[in-house]
Amino acid sequence: MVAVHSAGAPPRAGSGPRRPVSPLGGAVVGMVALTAFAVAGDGALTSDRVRQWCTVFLALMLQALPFLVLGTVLAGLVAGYLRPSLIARVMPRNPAVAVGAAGLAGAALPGCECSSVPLARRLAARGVPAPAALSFLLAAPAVNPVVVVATLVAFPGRPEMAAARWLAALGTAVTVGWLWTRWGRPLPPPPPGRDGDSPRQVFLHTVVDDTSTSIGYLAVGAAAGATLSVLVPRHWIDALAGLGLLSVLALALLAVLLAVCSEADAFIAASLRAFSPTAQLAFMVVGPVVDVKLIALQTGAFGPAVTRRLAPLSFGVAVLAAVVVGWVLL
Amino acid sequence: MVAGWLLVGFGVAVGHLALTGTYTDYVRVAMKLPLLAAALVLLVAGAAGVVSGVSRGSGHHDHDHDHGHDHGRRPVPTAVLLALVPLLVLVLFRPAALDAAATERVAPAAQPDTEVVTRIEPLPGRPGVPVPITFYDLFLRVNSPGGPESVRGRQLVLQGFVAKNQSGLATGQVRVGRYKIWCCAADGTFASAEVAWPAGAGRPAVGQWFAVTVTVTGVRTVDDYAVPIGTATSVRPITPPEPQYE
Repeated sequence: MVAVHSAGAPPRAGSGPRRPVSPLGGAVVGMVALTAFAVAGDGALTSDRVRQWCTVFLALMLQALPFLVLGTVLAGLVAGYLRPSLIARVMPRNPAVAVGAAGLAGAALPGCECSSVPLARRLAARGVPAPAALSFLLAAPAVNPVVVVATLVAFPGRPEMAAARWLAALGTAVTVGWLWTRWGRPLPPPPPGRDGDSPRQVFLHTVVDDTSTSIGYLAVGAAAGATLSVLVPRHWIDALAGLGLLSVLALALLAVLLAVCSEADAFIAASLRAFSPTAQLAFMVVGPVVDVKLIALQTGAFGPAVTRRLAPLSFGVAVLAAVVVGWVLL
Repeated sequence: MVAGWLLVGFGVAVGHLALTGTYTDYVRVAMKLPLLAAALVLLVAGAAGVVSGVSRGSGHHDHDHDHGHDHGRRPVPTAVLLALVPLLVLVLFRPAALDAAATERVAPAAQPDTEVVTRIEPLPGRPGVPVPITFYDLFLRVNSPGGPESVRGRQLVLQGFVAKNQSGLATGQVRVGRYKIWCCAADGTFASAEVAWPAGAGRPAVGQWFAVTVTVTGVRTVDDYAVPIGTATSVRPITPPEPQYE
């Protein structure tokens, strides 16, 4: 695949194309609406319920924070100290094999969603074929050890959830990469002069920026989890959870909307106890590969043409992977 | 720089929760070290971020950092502002552990689907000697084959509180129980027993914690589950234990 650089410069990350309605704002509005519906459906919003909501909200935040922090620190180390040229040199020539190798590399290199996008971009600029770079982008947030440990902690006594998640996520990353060799588009290179900062500065800024924004997204996710646990009438949840495949899709869509850091999404998924394990799995597999935050990041880094293909493709493959792995393992 | 201060704030809050033990109201006891470690990292990173922000001044960043998001611009990203919400909730509301008030909405303890009890261990100790047991363990026993026999005729000592929801009980009976958590308070489930209160003890207050010595006399089926019914031979008010969850 030849990387064609068109005359018009691709949008620079940092300067950003004109920003559409903030997806985070949309998620917050959606949740306020959900709360309003829930309150209308189940009687008054008592102070007891508010206190209970606060307890569950803080519980989810606290439980996830150590894993989130560990994830961003490691991602910062990768962003600051890992030289993409090193990876490009060891990457296999064959695109199909490269996709598989990139997916597995994601298992070793923890990448929060925030930093995996620019890292993939730098890999592509150093000669890694686009499908392999994308495969790495999709795998790193979801198959790394921190996420696996977090999932084990979130589902105590049920290690099959962590195994299923790892398999489905790797399968998704590799499948999307392979499909990209056929139907994908090249990735635009990053603008020149990006390496002005010292590795230590990149590390620090990555950690500070990624941690603070990830905590914000986690807050939205934890609030949604608390609302679903405490405020939404139980029979609504049970009715939705009983819908089989539709419940899987519902949680997949919720994952897109909530954009929780992959180190933390297992705890949100575990709190949705009324839903089937496969639906919870879908939440964990879809979230790291496509959500409102990733869509925004990818649009900024790769342009709308790439994202328009990548996002729906990732979603479809992820849901399919979750259903298949869930059917086999769970 | 706002991001740096945010992290410092979180470091202080999380560290405080961990050191004072209040964190057990939300997550398991074992989380103390991870929380302390996270608090330390947050403090250090946040402080470094603040210092770095100060030294850079408020100028626009000319070179791009390798991030997808545009932190080089002002204003502060929405996500960072939203991250303030948990801090505000903690400071303003100081929510307590799940308590009696939350029992209003809760069905009897539901077993996680995969926690299948294949073998009931006999209760430790000898008959006639009261044996401590958790409400959840008792719930599992009355809902598993061979379980009811393991508690028949034994005196059990349980620690729990008086639930707010006292519906469906016979006169003189009190619903007491305790929350069980697996991962954190988000999956808290209330395991309870319906206990005939000693006549001389008077009606207990909702939310009051007791150590009760109970003899199980039977079960009552609620939804799909069996809830243990018993007679309390002694009740003793206690202060809420730490952690409050089983």
